[in-house]
Amino acid sequence: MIPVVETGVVDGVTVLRSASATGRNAAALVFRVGRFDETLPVAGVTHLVEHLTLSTGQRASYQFNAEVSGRFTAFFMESADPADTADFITTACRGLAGDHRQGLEQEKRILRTEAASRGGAGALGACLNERYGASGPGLAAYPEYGLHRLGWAEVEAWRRSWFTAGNAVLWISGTVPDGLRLDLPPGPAPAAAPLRPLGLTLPGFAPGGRGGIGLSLTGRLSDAASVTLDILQRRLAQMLRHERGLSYDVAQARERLDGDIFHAWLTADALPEQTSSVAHAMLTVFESLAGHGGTDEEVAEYARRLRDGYESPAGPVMILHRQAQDVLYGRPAREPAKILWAAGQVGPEAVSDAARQLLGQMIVATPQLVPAIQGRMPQLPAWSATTVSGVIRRSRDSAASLTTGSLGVMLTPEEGRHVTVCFDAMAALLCWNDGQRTLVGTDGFAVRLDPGEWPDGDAVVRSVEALVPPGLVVTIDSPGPERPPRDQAPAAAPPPVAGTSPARPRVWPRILRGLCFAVVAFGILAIAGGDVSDGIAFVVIGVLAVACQQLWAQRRVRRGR
Amino acid sequence: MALFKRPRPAAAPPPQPAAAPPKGPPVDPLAGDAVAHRFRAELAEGRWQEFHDFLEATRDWTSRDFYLSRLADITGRPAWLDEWAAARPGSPLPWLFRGQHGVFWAWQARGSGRASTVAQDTWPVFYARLVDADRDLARAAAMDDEDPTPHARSIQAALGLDLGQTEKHKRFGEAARRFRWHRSAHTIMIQATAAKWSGSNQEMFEFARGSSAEAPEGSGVHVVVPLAHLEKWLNLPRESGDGEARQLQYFRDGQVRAEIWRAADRSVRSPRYQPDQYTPSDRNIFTMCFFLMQDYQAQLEQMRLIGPLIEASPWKYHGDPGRAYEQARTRALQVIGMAQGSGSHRAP
Repeated sequence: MIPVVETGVVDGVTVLRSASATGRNAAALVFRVGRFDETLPVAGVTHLVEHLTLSTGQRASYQFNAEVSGRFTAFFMESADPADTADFITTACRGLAGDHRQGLEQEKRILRTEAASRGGAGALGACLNERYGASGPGLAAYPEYGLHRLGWAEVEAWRRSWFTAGNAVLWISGTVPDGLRLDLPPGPAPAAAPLRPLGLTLPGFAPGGRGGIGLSLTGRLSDAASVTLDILQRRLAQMLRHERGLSYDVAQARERLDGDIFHAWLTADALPEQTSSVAHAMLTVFESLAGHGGTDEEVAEYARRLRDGYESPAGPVMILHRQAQDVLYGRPAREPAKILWAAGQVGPEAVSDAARQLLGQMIVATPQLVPAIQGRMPQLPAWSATTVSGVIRRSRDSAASLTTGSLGVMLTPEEGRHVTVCFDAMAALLCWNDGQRTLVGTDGFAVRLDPGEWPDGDAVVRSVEALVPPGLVVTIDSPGPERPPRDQAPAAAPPPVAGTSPARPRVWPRILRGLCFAVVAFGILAIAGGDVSDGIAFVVIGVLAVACQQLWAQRRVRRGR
Repeated sequence: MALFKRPRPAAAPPPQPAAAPPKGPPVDPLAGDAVAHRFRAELAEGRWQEFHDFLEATRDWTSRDFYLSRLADITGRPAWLDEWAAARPGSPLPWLFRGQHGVFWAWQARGSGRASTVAQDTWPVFYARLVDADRDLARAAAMDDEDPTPHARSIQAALGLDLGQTEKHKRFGEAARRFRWHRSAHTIMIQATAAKWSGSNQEMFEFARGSSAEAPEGSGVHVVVPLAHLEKWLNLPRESGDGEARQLQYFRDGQVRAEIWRAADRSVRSPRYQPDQYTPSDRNIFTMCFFLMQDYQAQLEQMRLIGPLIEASPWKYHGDPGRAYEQARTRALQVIGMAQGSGSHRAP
């Protein structure tokens, strides 16, 4: 039987309830705030609030946890005793109101440890970064830089604005406990910043990821889109795994980017020698679906599986969580029966339209250049379209040049290829403890500044810092990314990762030059002491050595080494 | 007035045009087929209708493959290809023809040189044309489940798109399932399994020897054996420092000669050999091998049967194909003449 959802209000908070399919109580207190609501300098603040909330040290005898996704933060629990639900909600609300300044540094350390063991967002994060730069969903590509910066005042302010009664929904699968209280600060749901997709020409591809192919798809939430993605995944699994034996896993993950827009991440793993074949097969299947749509049987199978899901033991939780998200976005919560009916009405044309729309907005992540993808779409821009003018400096290490002006900073690794960050479109300035700086633009392009690489490097860094608003500065107590080897031109800095090994400054040429000058000085001293012939010899040798070294260094620069 | 006069350099003699080597006899890409010549003239004027009817009536897969592949080799993209597809949406033939043309068109962009000779900005064009061609061929295949032609021809697209050996073999398998002894499917697979297209000499020879061992006597499929040897011979200079020396000796190796003779005896030299539109191609391939093997009697025997139907491949490996063919003939006649004057010459 499909669960029925009842709606109520407790202490100004919307409460959704359905009967439990297992006889046990499950509940979640859900807030409409997540990583995509943050900015780069405070990235991780929601995660920090989530950790601090449940950091009271009390050991509960029931199962509980919490999670921060792109747009939602959920505190959830499960127990046979309804009284535990009341206890958990009370604990969560108390945690959200508590003063955690004492435990702040400890939780930040725990979160950095968690991040280190979890690893990065990989190709999925890279695709979101391509779409949105260093804002909104694009933040998924970055470490939680806020953990290096946030003080209690900022954390508390964030909590006060987002974790309010008007921005929360409690759902309970099972029995509503007696005396349930939701002691949250009053306040409306804050308006979410609108999505700011970059003006990319899509579809396009981006080299990245370790193996296999990833399809980044966005579209408007609709029954047709859900049916289409399900059919696509099943067709791909059938072909790539069962018929051809090219992939082990064809997976799909979907997430809301805002009230109307979703992002789907469809992946197929592949051996390196099969990557091209897998990519071609994936796109051929996708194009076929866009051309011909799905079959009635496929739509009916989707509806049947959806019904099975609703009627399964996990059904109530699935329905309640989805409805909670709808409520938090101010959308009418749809009854499962209506969703099932609507899914069954999706016809081949609607599937075809949805597939075409998804194809048209697609980004393909590939581990390397794949001919079957290159033949279908262009590579996404790897260089900035904008340039700035100003003082130009030549790198000591490579053929690159650095332009610093009043409008921004531009790195030019080679003629015609620029990475530009404008001061009026900056997401963050990362200050590493070895003196390096990374300027991250809102478009996701980043310029790394190593003072040792540029003439007057320290002055350059100071002048840049003076133009960046303090709210964008993140000071990181670890060395910056290692400088690329001297025979490689510097490129756009990747999304920087904290904790990499320190840069190795170029010291040996300076030592050599110092020795040469010492030889000259020794010669002069010898002349002054009366040993004119030997002194002149030392001076000549020293001067020649300096000249040779200088010539050699200039030659290296000209050759771009 | 200038104080110092620079000695004026003596006027250089005007550059003399290099004497062009004499051209050999013409090569007919349509293998002297009168029907193909007629349709080529029609297609050149955008008249595809009769050719469509002809192709539709041609259910002999070797013939269909021949007319398709030889007539689709058109420089540039004629507008009438799309017109044909729009006019006959229910027929696989316009998709088949456009797909085959797309493959040729892709290689027109790429050129036939090694990958290192291809300009970077050419690759996306090459790949885009191959992707389109592959879509057309897949559509044609879906519309006529009996026809092996789109499957056979799609191996070339898979090769250019670097879809891997598994995919190439899968496509060959689809063609062979519909017509076991599809000549073009086999000859394309020699390229598809070659080292230069992500295969290896071992894979190529396994395919060639296996196919020839199973093919019936009289089949044109045995041509895969000399093709494989020619492919290896061509590649020898790139394989090792002494490759050029090994290339000179390659066709004098007893095992190589024996394999080619065995294949020839089971095809172009067999009384059961079934001539078809690809017969000139078969004979030209064996003839060049005989020439390289210095088996001049056998070479001249095939040349007499070839008559004027010289094929560009494989003679183009020696430059102008017609001239290379003529030089081979002259060389053979000289040696035979000398041999007859001094004793005897006997083919193995």
